[in-house]
Amino acid sequence: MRTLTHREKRTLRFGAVAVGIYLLSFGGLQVWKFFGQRRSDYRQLVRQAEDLKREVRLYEDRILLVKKLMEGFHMDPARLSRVSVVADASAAIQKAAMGGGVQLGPVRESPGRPSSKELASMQLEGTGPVPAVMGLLSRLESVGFPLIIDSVQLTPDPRPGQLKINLTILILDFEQWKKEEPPHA
Amino acid sequence: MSELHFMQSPSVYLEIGQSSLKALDGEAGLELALERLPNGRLTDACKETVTLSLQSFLKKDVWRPRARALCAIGARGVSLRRLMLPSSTKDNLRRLLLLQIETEFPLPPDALAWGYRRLGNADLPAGQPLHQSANSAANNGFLVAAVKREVVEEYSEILSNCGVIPVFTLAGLARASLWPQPPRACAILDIGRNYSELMTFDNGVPTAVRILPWGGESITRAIEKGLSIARDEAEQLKIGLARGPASDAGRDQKSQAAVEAALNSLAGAIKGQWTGQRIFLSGKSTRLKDMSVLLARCLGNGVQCESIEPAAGEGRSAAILGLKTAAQSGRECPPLVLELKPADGAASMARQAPWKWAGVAVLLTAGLLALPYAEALLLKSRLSRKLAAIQVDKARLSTIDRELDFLRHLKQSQPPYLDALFLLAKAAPQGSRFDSLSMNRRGDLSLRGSMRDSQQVAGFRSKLIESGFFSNVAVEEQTPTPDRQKVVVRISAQWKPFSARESLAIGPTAEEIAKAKIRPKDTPAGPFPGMSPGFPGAAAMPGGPSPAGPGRRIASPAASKMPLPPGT
Repeated sequence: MRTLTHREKRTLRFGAVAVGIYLLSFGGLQVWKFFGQRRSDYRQLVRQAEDLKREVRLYEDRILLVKKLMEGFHMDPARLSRVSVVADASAAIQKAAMGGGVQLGPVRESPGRPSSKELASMQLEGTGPVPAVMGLLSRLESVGFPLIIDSVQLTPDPRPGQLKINLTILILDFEQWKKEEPPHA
Repeated sequence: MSELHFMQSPSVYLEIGQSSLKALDGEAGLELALERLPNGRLTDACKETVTLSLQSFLKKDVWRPRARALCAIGARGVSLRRLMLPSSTKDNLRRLLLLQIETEFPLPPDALAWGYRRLGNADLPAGQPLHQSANSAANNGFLVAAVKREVVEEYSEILSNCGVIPVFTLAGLARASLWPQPPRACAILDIGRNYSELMTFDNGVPTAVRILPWGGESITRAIEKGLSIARDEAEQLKIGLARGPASDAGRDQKSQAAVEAALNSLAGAIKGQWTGQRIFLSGKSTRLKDMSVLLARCLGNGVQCESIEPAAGEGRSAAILGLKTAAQSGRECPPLVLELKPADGAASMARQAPWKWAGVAVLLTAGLLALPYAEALLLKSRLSRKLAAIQVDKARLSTIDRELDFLRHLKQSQPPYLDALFLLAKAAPQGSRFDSLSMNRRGDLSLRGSMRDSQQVAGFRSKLIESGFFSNVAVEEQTPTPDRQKVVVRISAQWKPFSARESLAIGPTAEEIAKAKIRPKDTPAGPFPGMSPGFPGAAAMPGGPSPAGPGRRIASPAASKMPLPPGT
């Protein structure tokens, strides 16, 4: 093979350097783009995380309020079973009445109005001393079920010191709240 | 660069002579005696002692870079040449120098530790014979110094073992650094123990270096012979002469005569080597009283002698002071560095520290630039996983919303039956009787009962309205009984919505509760027991008024106007 002249060697050297520079810059650009893309993705994720953080922070007050209300009502709505809630609520009401000294008469149950998100309504009749009747009215709120006293009728009982009470109680259906679109407040 | 001095390697200064080694690190000095073999090499024991002593002397902070040891070595075995070389590139210059060294010096370059210094045109003395042709205008002058390689290697090994980077130069050149502008023609005589070193300069450029077989010991011997005393006594006498005249004037005179005789022999040796007008003296022996004057007299011809020996102190000498002066004047290296490596040692030595720091700076900058990208690469997957987990958990937020909505609805839908009963009981006049009372959650209230007269009915209605709880109160029917003793009434009312009732103070005060607790329980029975006289709702309710208006006792004008029910 012929020995290359100095001029040829120099030309080859320049060519190699030029090709090297081209490859280096091209490859460098690709690497730069790759890392730039990764960084931009990461920054987007960081922004998402910050948004999420802000969103979750708003819920801190709501959680406290929910906790307070749940403690007031002695109830966790998420744990209520639609199948057994009416039976359990009826039992709890009767237990509260008996425990407070109110003698219950007939108890009638009827299905609630789905439009009002009610599961059932109950009609109770009972007799007892004034304190017991008042105590029952106060305790019904915290028996651990979503109850609303629809109406109250108080009449005197022939026995002295006794009061007759007629109650209509509504049992709410939490399942129907679940199906609803959550409020955007 | 002065701002970056703290980045530069610290320097220690050493002078390695024939019989002693002096070191100066800051203000601390060290002086060690050297023992040599007949061939001039250090003995093994001496090497070990010197290494250990220097190691303990040069203790350095761990965080600081390795110190440079600027070493001035004695002139024994040193050859000095001035060479003229044609202009050339740096690589060619080195090649040319090697060729010239091979020609000019008795040993090949590989066996030498050598260094060079470029001479400016001003440095070239007129008429001075050069080893190469001085005719060419393009020629450059170089001063080349060389010494046997193993001599410098021996010192280098000792210093490297002490953790310093040695840089070697000639002691004579170091002494010359004491003057910013050296005299045109002069000589420096460093008087050692047994030998003296004479370096002659022309225009600040060394022209020759010679070892004279004359030293401080020569003076001692002269005194010993002149006074016929023992050597130790002669040495003491010599030291005494340095301090000043002794009490014995006759003995002093004899000593002075002996010293002069010794100096005469020195002057003879100098005259054989140099014929200048100014000579500088260094070395401990120059501390002898009137040494400079005596030597000048011995030299004659108006030669001036001047001592440049610094004040006494361990590790202090003219060479060390010269090295220090050169370093403090901003020179990173002495003007002529004796190299052991074939590469450009001086340059690499000088550039080592800045390049190291530059490298660190580049690395840090690269790290700084790469950090955001590295963060993205390293943390992205982790962050994605975390975000996905939070997104899954986010579904629970809607559950919380629904629960809150449900519980709020439940709370707001609880009708205020007990509040209404409390207000009725509080407003009812004495002797009233309620036969029936019905309420529903829409706020409708209706009651049927009897009162004493129509005024009581009107008062009862007024109190209910003033309570602020009811939006309207209507007496639907008011009929007197046939015996005209009572009035049968039918009243309907509507309580206000939840939002309007929120600010009302309803429920018994703490005082009312306390009074109710101490009231006898045998309340009079009536057709509507407990409601007449006064509905004892608060007293009768287990747990007090909590369900009626817990924690909502806010003063309102309407409530304050309301009179307490009779009997309470």
